[in-house]
Amino acid sequence: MSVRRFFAAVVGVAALSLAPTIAQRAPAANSDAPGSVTIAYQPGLGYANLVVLKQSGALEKRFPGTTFEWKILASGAAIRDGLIADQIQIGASGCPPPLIAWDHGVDIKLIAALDEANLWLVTRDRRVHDLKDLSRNAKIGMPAPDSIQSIVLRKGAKEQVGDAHAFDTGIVAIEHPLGVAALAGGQLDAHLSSPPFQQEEVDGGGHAILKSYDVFGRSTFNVIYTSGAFAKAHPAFVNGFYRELRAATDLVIKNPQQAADYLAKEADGKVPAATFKRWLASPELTFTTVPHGILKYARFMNEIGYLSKVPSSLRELELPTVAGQGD
Amino acid sequence: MNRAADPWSRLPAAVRYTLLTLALLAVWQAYVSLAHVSPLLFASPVAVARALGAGIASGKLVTATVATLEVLIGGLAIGALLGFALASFASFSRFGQDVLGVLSAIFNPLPSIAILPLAIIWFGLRPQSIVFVVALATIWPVALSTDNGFRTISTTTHLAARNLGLRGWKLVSDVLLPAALPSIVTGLKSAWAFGWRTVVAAELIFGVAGSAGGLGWYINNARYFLQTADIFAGLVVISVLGIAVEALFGLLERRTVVRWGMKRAA
Repeated sequence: MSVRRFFAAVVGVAALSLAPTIAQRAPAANSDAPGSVTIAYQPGLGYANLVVLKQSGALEKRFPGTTFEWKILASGAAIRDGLIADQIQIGASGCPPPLIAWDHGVDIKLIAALDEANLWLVTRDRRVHDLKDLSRNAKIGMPAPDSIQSIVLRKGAKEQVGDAHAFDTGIVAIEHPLGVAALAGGQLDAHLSSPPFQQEEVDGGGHAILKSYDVFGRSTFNVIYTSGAFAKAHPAFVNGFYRELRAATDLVIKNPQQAADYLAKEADGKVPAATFKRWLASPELTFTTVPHGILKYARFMNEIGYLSKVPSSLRELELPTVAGQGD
Repeated sequence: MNRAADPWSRLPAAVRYTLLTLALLAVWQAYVSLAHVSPLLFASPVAVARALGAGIASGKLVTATVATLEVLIGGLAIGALLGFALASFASFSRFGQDVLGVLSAIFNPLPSIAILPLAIIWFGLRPQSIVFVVALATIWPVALSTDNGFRTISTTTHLAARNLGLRGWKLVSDVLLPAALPSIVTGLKSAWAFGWRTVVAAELIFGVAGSAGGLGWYINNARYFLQTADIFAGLVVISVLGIAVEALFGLLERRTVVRWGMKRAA
């Protein structure tokens, strides 16, 4: 080691120890990181990559000056409303709540998709094989009347019984875990949830009478978004967040054992890692940050009056993170 | 200053209230148009009127209102009957008095909306759950007011009735009831207020569309789709119905207790 380098090192160490605040201020690329960020999502395996991101502490490592708060809410609308009120900076849900916000002029931007999932409408009534067999008064549980599940039900209703709103009066807004119990207890006639809840229901004696891939094709389940203002003020942060999310998504795909361990940690040991690993292996749920089929949902929502317009291209709603990658 | 000489006081009541309401609407509209509030957060009276018209035309607002009223009237009827029975029972005997005392001490402080999760387990995701919760909210105001009415009847009236040989139900129906009517009407009024608040709150968190949905679901559904004007329209209906029922109680009082000289007209 040369004398000069030795001195440089000594000065460097001294500067670091004298000015810890400067040292904490992360690398220059992340200089626009905010002091605190609230990230909201919902219960379910469809947020597994986000949960891995949370449990691995990767964000705290990348943005040491930022405190992260994670919230679990029961509906996408609650998350979107929190975003509008600026109580939440980054939110994850199915695509309809952010699409409705966009339609009403809210500046909302997709950071990425989280996954693709085949959503099942499950019933325990053996006489019911499809929507045509289902009573118009059947109580059908789903997270909310604007959830992606509700759009799947309406598309199925449109195709099978000719009226998108045929089952509207039977909709029950219920969180996934409660819905599983209500279906088992006979309070619900059918339940449209997501993995792993739908698999649990089928394992418990139910059967699927409608699958989202059958009506919409393989398509994005959850998306993660922020407000346009936040994205503008913190572009490097959002980009860094996206990179970490991609790394977490890769981990879920390539190392399901470790992902399952993180998920078990999140579940506080109530669900063992082995169960998560089995659930993650299901072909009905795949993880990718590339959005897919969102415009199909938007067009159908426009057709049944839930959107007044359709984005001419998904680019209208996307951040540079995923722009032009999907549809 | 003499109240009667005040020009505002000399106007008929209907004109005074109409003027105040119009002024309120004007301030509301002015706020929305001048402050450039986001229509997502606050709707103007004009937008609300349009949403009301559309809701009534499509029948959705009417169905929701009817559903709410059905559940409310069912719950209120059950609650009032039970409350009334409890108070009558209490007027017969010491034991009845104690039963009412203990039950109302336990249940009256309990916001009945807190019972909803239990009601859902017992009755399922059906209107019955809300009827139960509303009944539970309305029993106690009716029971306590009626009981209070019975007990504040003057001893003279009581003794005169006993002297005439009136006992049991006959005593209640012929003497106690008319004598306690002002308190009973007060009890019914507060039962209605409790029930009305409970039914809307229950529907808001119940999350069931259709016959059990009512106005609470209507408001929540509008919120999901960011239709702020529709949220306001639902609130207007709730408020207008509240005013209408108040007026109905006013009419009832004028026809009975005011006419009988038991209460002064407001």
